[in-house]
Amino acid sequence: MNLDAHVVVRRPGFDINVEIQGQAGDTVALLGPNGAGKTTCLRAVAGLQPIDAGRVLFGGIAVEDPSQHIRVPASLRDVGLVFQDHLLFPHLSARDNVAFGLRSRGTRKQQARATATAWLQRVGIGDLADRKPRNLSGGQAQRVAIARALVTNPSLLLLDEPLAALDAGAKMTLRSELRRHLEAFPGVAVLVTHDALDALMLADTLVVLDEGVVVQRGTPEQVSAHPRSDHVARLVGLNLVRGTANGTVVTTGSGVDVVSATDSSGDVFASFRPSAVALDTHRPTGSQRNAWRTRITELAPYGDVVRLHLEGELDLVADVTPQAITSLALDIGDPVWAVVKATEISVYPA
Amino acid sequence: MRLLAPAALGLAFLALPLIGLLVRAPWATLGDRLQDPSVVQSLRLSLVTASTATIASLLVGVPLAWVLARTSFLGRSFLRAFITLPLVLPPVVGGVALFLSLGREGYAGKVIDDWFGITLPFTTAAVVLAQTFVAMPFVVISVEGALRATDSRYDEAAATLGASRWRTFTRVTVPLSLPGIAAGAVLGWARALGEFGATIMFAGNFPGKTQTMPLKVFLALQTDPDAAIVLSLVLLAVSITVLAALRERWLTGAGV
Repeated sequence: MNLDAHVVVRRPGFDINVEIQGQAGDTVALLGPNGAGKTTCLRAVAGLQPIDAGRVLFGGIAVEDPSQHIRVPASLRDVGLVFQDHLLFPHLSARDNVAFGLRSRGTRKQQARATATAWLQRVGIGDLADRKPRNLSGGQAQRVAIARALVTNPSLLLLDEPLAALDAGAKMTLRSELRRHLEAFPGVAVLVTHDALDALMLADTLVVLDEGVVVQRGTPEQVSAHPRSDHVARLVGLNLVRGTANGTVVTTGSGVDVVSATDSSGDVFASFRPSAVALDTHRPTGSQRNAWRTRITELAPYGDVVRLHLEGELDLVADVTPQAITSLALDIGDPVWAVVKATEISVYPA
Repeated sequence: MRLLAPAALGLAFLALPLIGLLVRAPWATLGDRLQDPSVVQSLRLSLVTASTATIASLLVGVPLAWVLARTSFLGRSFLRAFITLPLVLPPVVGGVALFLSLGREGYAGKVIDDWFGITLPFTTAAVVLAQTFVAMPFVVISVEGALRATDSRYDEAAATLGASRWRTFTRVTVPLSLPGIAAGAVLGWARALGEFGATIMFAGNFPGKTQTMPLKVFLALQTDPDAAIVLSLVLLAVSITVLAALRERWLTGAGV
């Protein structure tokens, strides 16, 4: 089933007018600052927020179309929604929270509880099935919420800032777990986030919103490589490399090594900020652990620095001072060594 | 001093009558008087009717509170004002109104009489109706507050999980606002237990049938003052128990 939504919601400050499309298996991220209208779009698709114009089609069938007075209530829309603060029912155990959707749709109690238990095991907290939400950590509660949203096999999975309420450690673990769930999910997933890393790691398509309208859409690579506004550039201001880790060395698919200061193993992402990249015309000697041979493809002032796009062993974005550009006499097309300290590189499990 | 003196006067004004009740109580014969069959009879009638009225108030009052708390429509504040009317209306007026509408010659009572052969006035059912009339507004207002205090996004979460409005109400909304509903029920029950004016107008004063504790106190004061004091002590004890039950929610100021 595919999603085709054109959400128009009139609000006192600014109107929201956003189109979201997704094919089965896709994860679409709505990225933007707080108050951009991301959550309103998600609520509209879920049926919790009436739209003033436009329409919402699930698999080509209108679930909401104000011009034809069609509005299918949320309870009949076949969506799973994961809220930022999980909103687990406080009076029900983890198992009964997960079983709730099955019971609502007529599954018998024993069967619903068995399926719920299996899902809790699948999200790795089978041993906490009898706990009430108040006795779960933030990460555990969000796992229950993910199981609760997925257990009914919805055709649409909606996630509203699912990682925002978590501390850094839990966020990192849950992000890679969520990635696996999204890869296994056969329907369309729509993820609302203000965190560029979430969007880059989890989504196939990015829809960047600001003040209720789409300012850019594309794949994570397209959007991060060619931000069309300062805002997007700031949001996606990260270089992201995927590879296989062995100790402190991450090797990319094309055989380039990225050295970090942390030990890890398996499939990982390595990320670093554009400002962590230094440039040199000669291969540097000394304590710098990463030096990649690249060529400058773009060069433009960005705030009080110069933003360069580099292609070569790795494709990177680098922010350097204008003085560095002048002292090295660099221009588009010039070969250059991109140098990054190992301590500047963060490695996350993929 | 300008504030403390009137405050002390106010406290004394509330305390002195209760002290008088305790001082004048016939403690020596208290045990015997409590076992008097007519006392037991009216106490039982009071407990049964007040509890029935509370259940009736909950059955219709909680959905009414839900309408006030969770829906939005033109005239909602007017509806709330109308529901609270019995709170400020003299109970005697309520009794007259009940009699004129549900009595044998009342526009609704006549229909009930003709169609079902049920005559309401001066029956135990009339006691329950009179008590429900005065108690239900307490339940509605208190439960509405509890529902408003419950995060309505839980209702939305239930909706996205395929729950119908009824299932959401019974499985999520009510369990989450249960403490507030219980507080409303206790408050309504206490109001029903003390009901006098509407009861005597609509249900009369028949021992064993419509003579509840407050009515018996009124009657006893004219013939046997000691009996009236004993009955009043019983009602005082019940009130204190209710206060104790509500302590957590009300006396700490953290209630609905």
